[in-house]
Amino acid sequence: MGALRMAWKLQRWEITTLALVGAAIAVTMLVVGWRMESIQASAPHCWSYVDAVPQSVVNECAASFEEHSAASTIGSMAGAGAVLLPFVLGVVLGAPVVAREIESRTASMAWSVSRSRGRWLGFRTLPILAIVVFAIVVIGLSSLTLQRQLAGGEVGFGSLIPPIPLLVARGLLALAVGLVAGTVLGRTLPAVLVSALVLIALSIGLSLGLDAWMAGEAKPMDQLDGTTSKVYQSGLRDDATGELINLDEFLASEDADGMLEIPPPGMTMVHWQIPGSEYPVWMAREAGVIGGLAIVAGVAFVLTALRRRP
Amino acid sequence: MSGALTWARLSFRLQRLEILILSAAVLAASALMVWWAFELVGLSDAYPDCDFFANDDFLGGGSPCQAPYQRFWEIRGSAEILTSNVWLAGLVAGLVLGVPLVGREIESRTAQLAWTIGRSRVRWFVRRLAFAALVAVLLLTVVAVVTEVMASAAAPGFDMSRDFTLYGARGPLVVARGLLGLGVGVVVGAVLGRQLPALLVGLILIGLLYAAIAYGMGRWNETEGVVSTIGEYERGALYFGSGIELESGERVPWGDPRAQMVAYQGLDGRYYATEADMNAGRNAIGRDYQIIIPGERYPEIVARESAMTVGVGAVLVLTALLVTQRRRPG
Repeated sequence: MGALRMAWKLQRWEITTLALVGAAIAVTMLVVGWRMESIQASAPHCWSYVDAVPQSVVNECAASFEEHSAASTIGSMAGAGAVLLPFVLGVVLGAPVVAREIESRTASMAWSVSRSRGRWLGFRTLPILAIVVFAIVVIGLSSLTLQRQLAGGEVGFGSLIPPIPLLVARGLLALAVGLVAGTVLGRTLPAVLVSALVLIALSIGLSLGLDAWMAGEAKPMDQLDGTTSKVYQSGLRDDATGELINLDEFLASEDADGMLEIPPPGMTMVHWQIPGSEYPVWMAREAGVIGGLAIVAGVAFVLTALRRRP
Repeated sequence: MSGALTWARLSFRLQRLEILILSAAVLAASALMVWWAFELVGLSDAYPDCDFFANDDFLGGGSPCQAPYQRFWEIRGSAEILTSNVWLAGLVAGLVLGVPLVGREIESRTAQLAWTIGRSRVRWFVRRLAFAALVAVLLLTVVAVVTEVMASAAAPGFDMSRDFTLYGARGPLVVARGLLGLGVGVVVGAVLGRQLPALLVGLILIGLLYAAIAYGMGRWNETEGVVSTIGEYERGALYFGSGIELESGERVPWGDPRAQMVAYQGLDGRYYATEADMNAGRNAIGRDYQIIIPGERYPEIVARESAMTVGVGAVLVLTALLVTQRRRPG
């Protein structure tokens, strides 16, 4: 409790601002998610169509659709906030832990009065770690109904808000990067900037890497797996030989000249995709990769902080 | 001259890290965009007969334009990751330069010393602000020019000085938004006297101000929009909305439930509820419409929004000056 009280005293402003932002996002997601569900529950016949909605239903249910769509727009904005928040929490709470002590020249005193620097680091970082994880779990739990509604009932690769373990892993990575940047630079604002840039670069790299990994694991299937799957490319299967041809390569070949219909006779359309049923597995893999990076960055922080001059 | 150099050197030392980090980010992003622009210009020069804006379904298998077409759109897609976020870059760069101007002096308890040894607080404030504004303008001018080059390379054969494509993500508006961000940063830093909370509150304020300005300018521009049919769509126009103009002259947007009764469009461009009505040419419901501002007005609209954005930034800077003058340094 003493460590938490100390964290609150030292980072009161940041924690208060982030708590207000987080609470606004969480409440918005809860209210909008509940509202979207109640709109559907009040007119179940409007929402029972899986494919095309008949014109008569469109006319009759226009008000329900419009209200749901308006709520969905607000929900998407709050959802985007929930996706960004773990990064903001990690960086804004992590960067000043060591940087502010160095910047305000109190590090040498703080480090000398503590029994060991390692103990001081634990005393200062563990409460922040607990606050970040707690806040992200609360945000993640508040998003569950909205997440289902925005995904059209079934959560899958098209979902805006990722599952809680992935949100937590992102927050931990951001926290570790913020701690390292703060320790190395010894200046709060530049550390926040550098952390943000590093996280943007890491996110792009991870996204490209994971996408390449998933593309390699995608399997050709005859039917598109609804809206929950991740489709990489389409192609054709020769019904006689079973040979698979990429659609772009086929269209670029001379075989496609003058062709009026796709697929041509004797061929079947196939889609390389990862089915929505594998969504939890891939999210767990992504969380594992990001969690691993967070551990590496955490170790780098400890090593840097133990050797840094105050 | 030596006075100006001393001013520049001292001001740079106070914000060295922020300036270096922002410069590195601007340089990296600019280098990437220039490289992509060269690739795009190279493709359009190497294949002058290919229309990169044609529907690829019509290029045909084995067409010599197929491969360059795909490459062109791959590069454009990659470049869009940067160009679509440039609007935010100006605001954030300004904010990052503005927050520490007064906020850091108060936070590190050096404000009292700085404000007492200076001839006046106003003079101290203006000198600090002038340098930050200069850096913001210089860095963002680089971004503004590079994004213009990128936009021209991504649309070969089009006059981008008369085109609303990438509106707000290129040219002078990027610099203007930087000055708005600077204004927000200085005022929030001066009020809160803490850098990180000021950065967070500044981000929220910037979001609200950006939305307010975008909404206000959007409504203003819309009042000057002209009505055209969708068939007359002009490339590069600023688009406000579309729907169906009923025979009575009333305009109904596509989102309106009444627009749902439209089912068939005849050769005359009018909409009908049934196929029989369409074939007989009777009981027409109306025709489509859209509200646009033609691309020729791009320079004027950009200048107007830039002036408005800089104006709001200037009001914020004046507010920050008032706060600094009256604020206690602790």
